[in-house]
Amino acid sequence: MKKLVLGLILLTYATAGFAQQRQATPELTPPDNGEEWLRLSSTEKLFWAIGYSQGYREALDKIDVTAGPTSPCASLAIRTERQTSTSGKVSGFELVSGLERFYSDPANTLIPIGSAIRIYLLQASGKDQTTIQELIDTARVLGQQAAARPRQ
Amino acid sequence: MRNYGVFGLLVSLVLAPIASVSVIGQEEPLPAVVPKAVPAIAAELPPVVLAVEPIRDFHTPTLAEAARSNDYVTFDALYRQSKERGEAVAAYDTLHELWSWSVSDPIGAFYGADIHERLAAVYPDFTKFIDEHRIIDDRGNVFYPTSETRAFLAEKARLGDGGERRAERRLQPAPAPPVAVAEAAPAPAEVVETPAPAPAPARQPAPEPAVVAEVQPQAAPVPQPVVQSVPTAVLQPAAPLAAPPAAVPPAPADSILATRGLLLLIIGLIGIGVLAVMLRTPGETPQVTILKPDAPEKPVAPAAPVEPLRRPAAPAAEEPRATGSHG
Repeated sequence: MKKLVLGLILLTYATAGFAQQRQATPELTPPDNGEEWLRLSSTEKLFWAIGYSQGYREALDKIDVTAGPTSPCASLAIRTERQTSTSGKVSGFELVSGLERFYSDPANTLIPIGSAIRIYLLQASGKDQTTIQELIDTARVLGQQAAARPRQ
Repeated sequence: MRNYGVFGLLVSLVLAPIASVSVIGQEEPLPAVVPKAVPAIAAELPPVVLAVEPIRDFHTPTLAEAARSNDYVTFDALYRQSKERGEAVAAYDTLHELWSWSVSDPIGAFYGADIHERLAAVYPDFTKFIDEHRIIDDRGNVFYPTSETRAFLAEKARLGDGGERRAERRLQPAPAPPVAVAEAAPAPAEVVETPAPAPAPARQPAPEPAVVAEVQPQAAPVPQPVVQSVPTAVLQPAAPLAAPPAAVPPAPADSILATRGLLLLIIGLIGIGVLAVMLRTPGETPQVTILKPDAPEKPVAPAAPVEPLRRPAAPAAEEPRATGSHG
């Protein structure tokens, strides 16, 4: 009986040791929407935007069209790249400024950052305001639904 | 003659009422017009109150509230309306100017030395506050964030505007007493104004060009005397000014915790092993049989001789015993 109790005590210590190790690990997640974006400091926003721009640019560079230069896939890829090329050319400063301007409207704070960036890039490329406003309205609805959903 | 008299009397009797009542209409004085007081719609309660649509008290936000909630549209509208009404909103002039510029400029989230110098000239403690957040790029250009600057200006405006401060106290809990910015000198009797140091130009040659963006930590703070005309404190939301720049080294505490956790883990593993050994069932022990090689058969020794049974010698006849019963 004494051996059993001693074994249980040692098992409890082991569990506590595991739990303590788990608490020491920091958990950092990127901002999800405007609310979380506005909580960051300007330095954190800038470095996040620089990383985002660099990642987007590298992803665009890795798009290889293997079908051939004269295939419809090649022309489609060229057209898509031209449409989204501003993402790779937008600097971190511009991206931060664009998001700050976008989220200065409290109605947009629930819009996810990815949607906000796409809307900002379309605005920067000269898209008509009607389309932009429709996108914003849709993004607001999606953002509210996403915010109402329990976070996993 | 009498007929004429009667006739005249009759005429007068007939004409008198006719004359008193005009054919067109009686011109009575119109009743005095009392303008009906039309109440504001917001002030009236709706006739039907439903549980699914609760009535929420709505009040127009103040400039400070709009600034704090990062609502530029409301802030701009309130500012313009207040200006048109002639209200005292001078405390928000700088904030409105900066915010309007940041919204219109492509890289309005950051500004350069020109705006920084203008703000530093107006607010002596601004340089010390914003130096913690400045960014130096790989070419040595210094940029300052607009977001933190707006927070600074909003707080200054809130303290400078007495009316809004009283109104906000009703909405907020009791504010903490203004804490002096981390400065060595307590409130001095004499106010000595020294020009605010300009650390940015002095540090520009220093940055490493290889780094894309570098954040310079604040150097050793130069204690500046308090300028009594402007409250110095309260720059809480963006950066903890009271906290010393030299952070407490966290390594020892973390290493102790990590070591303790590792030790507990090792002890726990030992305990699990001991528990497993103690709780194993006896039947689990394998039965090991050792097989011996066949040994040569030893010759069987003959059995020991056994003497045959011999009747012992009959004893001598004995005299019959005397019995009492058969005689």
